[in-house]
Amino acid sequence: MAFLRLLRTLLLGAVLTTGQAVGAPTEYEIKAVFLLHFSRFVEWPPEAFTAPDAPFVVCVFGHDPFGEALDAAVRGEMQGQHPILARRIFNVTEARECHILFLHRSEDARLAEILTTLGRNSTLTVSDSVRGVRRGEVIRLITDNDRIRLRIDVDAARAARLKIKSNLLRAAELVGSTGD
Amino acid sequence: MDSPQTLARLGPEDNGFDMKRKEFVLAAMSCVIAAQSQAQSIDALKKLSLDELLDIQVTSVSKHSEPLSEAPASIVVLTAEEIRRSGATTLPEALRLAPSLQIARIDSVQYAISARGFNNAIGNKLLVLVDGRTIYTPLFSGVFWDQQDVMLEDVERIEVITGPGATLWGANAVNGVINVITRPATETTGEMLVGRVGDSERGAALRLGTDIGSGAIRFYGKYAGFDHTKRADGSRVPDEWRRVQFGFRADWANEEGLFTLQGDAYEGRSEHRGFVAGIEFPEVKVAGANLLGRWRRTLSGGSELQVQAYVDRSEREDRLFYEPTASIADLEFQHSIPGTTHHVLWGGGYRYGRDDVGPGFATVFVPAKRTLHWANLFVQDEIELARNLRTTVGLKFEHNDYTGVEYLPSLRVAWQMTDDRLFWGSLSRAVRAPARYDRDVRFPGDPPFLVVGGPNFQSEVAKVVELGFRAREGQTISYSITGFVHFWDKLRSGSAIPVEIENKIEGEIYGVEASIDYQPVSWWLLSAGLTYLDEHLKLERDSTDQVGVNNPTLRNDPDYHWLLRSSFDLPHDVELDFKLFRVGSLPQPVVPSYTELDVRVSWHVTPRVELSLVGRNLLHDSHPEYGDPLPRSEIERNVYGQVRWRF
Repeated sequence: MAFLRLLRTLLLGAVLTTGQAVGAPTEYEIKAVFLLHFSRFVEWPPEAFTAPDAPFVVCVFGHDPFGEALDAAVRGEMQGQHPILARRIFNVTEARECHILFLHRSEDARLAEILTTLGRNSTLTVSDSVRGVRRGEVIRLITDNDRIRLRIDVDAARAARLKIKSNLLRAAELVGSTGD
Repeated sequence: MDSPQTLARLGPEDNGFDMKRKEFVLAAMSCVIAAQSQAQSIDALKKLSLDELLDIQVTSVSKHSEPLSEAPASIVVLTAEEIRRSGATTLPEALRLAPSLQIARIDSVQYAISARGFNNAIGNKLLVLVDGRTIYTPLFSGVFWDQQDVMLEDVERIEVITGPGATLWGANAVNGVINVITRPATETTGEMLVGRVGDSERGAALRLGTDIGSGAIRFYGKYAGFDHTKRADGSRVPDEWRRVQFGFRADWANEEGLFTLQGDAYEGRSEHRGFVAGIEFPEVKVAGANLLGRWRRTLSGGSELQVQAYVDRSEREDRLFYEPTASIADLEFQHSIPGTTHHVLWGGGYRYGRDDVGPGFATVFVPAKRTLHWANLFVQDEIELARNLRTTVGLKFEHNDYTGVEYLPSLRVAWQMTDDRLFWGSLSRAVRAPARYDRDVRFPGDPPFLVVGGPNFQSEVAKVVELGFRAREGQTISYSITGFVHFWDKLRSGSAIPVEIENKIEGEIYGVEASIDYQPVSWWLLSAGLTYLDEHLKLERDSTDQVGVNNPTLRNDPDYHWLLRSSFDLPHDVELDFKLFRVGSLPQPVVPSYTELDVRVSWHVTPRVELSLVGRNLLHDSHPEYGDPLPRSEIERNVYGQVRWRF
């Protein structure tokens, strides 16, 4: 593992010395791709879509840490029959139209308000907050030891009527009740 | 890390990756690397599986993936990673990472720490906060560094802001603010054990963290012991020191907002210091405790309110100097109102301090007991003048019992020339309000007194102009440069003997703070920093001060100091860090310039166990950093080994 890491860094070095000053992926490039993955590993109830080909909307609330990365991640992607769109929202009432809603940690203070507004709406809420173990969002992206890990609140997922596939559950730390 | 609530955990550390998948990651990574545009790098990332994504190292710990700081001020942020890799075992040693700070180790545990000049053992122009709690003593508005400690492993970051921060932080934030910010308890669930043994110090720390309902709590305890130092003639300085500290922090959230409750208690003591001319100087003993609560919530309309309250008690028995006890109660609130073109922040606070200063051999305070009150009100508005031009105007009124109301205004302008270039400037006025040490001190401890506090001592006033530029070149280089002038008036001086403390020194301090980070490859980070100071202070014409501006209780600053760091990530999870630093000579008392080197090697035996070996001041057997040649301590080369175990 360490050897491969070295090889990887040497490759990176070689590329860099040829003049292509591009570093490793940034935190939010990786997180943008996580959001895309979530669209594949979570099932939304049919009533979450107004039409069979209605768009699948990935929202960023308030502060947008992704820049172009999220748009690049979802460009040309489909969730089943639904084309995936990225949208920035600033108003809590718009949150109900999102299938995935990402909140940057700087928007922590708005989380409770947003969750209250969403109620049992089928929105997959994702945050990278560093406060509170369970604050009601379905998925938490945690940076630990320079890697991203996932924490899934199974109660919150159930309340939002979202079905999370086992591949995603297996890769995550789960919080919430054990019984079904 | 596993909590009782955890059903399953197959995180990146635990799942068995076979080589094939690793090679796939490698191949995909090289696609990522070769990509020139973000879209291409995203495309490469999209080819990775969930497990592979989970195994990618996030580069945000290196500075380049962080957004360029937009703050129009001279800021250095020390990350947890940098602190860990510095090998620092105490807060003052960790602060050596900030090239804008002046750090001089006085003996085994005492330090003189300052920014932009005026460094001395009772430095009073720098405000230091730990999780929002001011740790300076109202006695001289400085910090007893031997008394203040944190669990460094749980520090999330240290923000070092040089220049006046008075509009937000109040009087005494004249030359800078140091914010030590520990991780929320929710980020420290799990256990950590740290043990350290070296030729001149040893320590152990244990932290236990667990989830509670909608949050988490952690407890920690730590012990540190430091051997005595020696003078240049080899004689022993009786400054052997032991310190024990316990504490906790809880963070939780509900519909009412975010809550934090934290507290610490500590005790420390030196060895017995023997007898001088028949007078006994027993141990220096210190003790203290504090408790802080903070509540943050979003109000309807999107504004945010924060209320914080704390109490802090400290005791110090030092037969040589003084024996102060102080109790502080502090309450403050702030309300942040974001908007499209205006972002208003306003707030206020009240602080109550009661102290009782027992006499020492060197000083006595008259009156021995005093109760002091401080109150403040501030407002700041960040205005978006144009798409890339922001201005921040602010004003604080602060009342203290000595000088009444002080006004502390500031004006800052930030021009975001491009995403990667920020040009900024500021004008501010800050004051260092009188402390007990200025008004009530008598020296020596018994009459006849040679020095008496000045009943008319006023605030020291600084008017400050700053210009700064911060930029990033591609993904590999980022740098920052700040130039400043502090126009000083009414600095502390004395009169003819018997000395009465007055405000009759004035002048200018010019300087430059520069830093650069260069990361040529992902496994090698180079950082350099330089501070240059040019002090032009003079006595006012009518002053009868006999000592002048080179009074070591006012200042004893080097013209420059610089720092060069190199951090390598080597194969087999080995890290290698070098820190080379140089501090220019001090004028009065003379301390020669010195260059020193720290080296740290660490090996992550597993992701949870880290062994490290640290050598400090390796270039010379010893060197002095502060004080008069004869009594001062020499700081020796030292080595320690440490194990850090997360379980």
